[in-house]
Amino acid sequence: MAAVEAPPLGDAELVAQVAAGDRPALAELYRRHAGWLTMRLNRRCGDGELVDTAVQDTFVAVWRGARRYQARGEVGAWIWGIGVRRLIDQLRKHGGRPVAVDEPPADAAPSAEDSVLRDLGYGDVGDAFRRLSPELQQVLEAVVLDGLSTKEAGTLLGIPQGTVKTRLMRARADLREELA
Amino acid sequence: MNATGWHADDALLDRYAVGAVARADAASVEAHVLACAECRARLAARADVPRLERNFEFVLAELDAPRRGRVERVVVRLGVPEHVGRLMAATPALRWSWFAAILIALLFVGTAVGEAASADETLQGFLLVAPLVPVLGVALCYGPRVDPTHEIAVAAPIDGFGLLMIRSMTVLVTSMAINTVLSLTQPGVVVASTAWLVPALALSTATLALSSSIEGRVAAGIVAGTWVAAVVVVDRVADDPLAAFGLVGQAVLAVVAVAAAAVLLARRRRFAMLEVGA
Repeated sequence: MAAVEAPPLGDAELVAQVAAGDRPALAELYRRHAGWLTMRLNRRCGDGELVDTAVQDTFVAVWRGARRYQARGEVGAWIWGIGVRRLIDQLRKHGGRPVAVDEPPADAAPSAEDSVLRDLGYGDVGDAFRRLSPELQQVLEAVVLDGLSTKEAGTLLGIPQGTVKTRLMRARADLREELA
Repeated sequence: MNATGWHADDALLDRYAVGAVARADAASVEAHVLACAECRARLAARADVPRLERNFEFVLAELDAPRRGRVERVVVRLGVPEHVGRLMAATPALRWSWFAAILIALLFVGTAVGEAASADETLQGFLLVAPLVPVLGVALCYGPRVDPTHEIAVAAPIDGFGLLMIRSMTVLVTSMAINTVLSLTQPGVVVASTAWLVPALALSTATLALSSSIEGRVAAGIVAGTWVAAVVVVDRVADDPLAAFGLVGQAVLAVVAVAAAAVLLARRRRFAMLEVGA
């Protein structure tokens, strides 16, 4: 596949075609979205098999639920919302604690990282975030970035909902203090 | 939707793809990729393609697979594990044709006997046949000749005894439901709606116990024959069509049920071997 160029059809149109029962449209949607979804879920759960099942379930759900997609917001965000909940379903079903994704050692490329965060408009926030403990980062990531409820975050992280709530409060207080 | 004009650089994407970035950077990539088709495609170029293709094959297979039947969906929603639910739904006795046949047979007994005979004889006819419904179901729910899912059942990660129990319980519950409904149409409702319960239990447990050493349908035949003969003989001797269903009869049948259950438990290992040789 040489065409890395954005094809003429947008994601939303593809979803509309999937809703009409068009398999090639589903294949194209999968080609565009399965890669990042798998990687992102992999960061949340170290068990590759659970991630694979969650990805499969996600696109089955996309096929069956394409009619329910509201054309507000990004298709990617919609797919993520399905994907992360399918992963949580898997974790719940198998009862196993998710394998914690360890914080990788700080990389020796601070300038690149800084520019990433600055360009996203996250400059100070990024620094403050970096100074939080991995546990607090994890909770912020699950609730703020992944859009999960505290209960879902608890299942994903393998900790009680109450712990999620206290860590979340703690993380927000720390961030406020850092940014003041 | 990318107002910042920013794109993730190649080094960052490389490290993200193998999970080697700190959370703050991962967050940037993840937030950005949701909105930027270009970086999404660049990230996809770093994905494990065979893995993705394999997963998509599973997706397509799932789309082509038959959806769960109504029975299966209901029992799974009631909390029965998925694989057990499928086995229950695949129990031949649960098929509508079986249901219909049993209903018609029982109604026929009820009305045909009722034409010519006394109320007691009508009731005898019903009480004679009703306990045989689960026996027939149990006999039909297992074995290579009657069960289209037998091949699957043999390979299922559940032992022969467990499978037999699941299916027998399924059959018992549905048969009891049929019998309960039909017993309401019988004269002497109170007797009819309770007197077949113990016989039904005794006969089906006896069938199960017997099928630990002989083929299920033969076992069912023997039990049914013995049952009919016993009821007729007791009727002749006592000159009362309902004699077999009196207190003594019920007590005897209860003993039979308990004894059969004991045999069944003692021989539970036999079922694992039976199904291979069947």
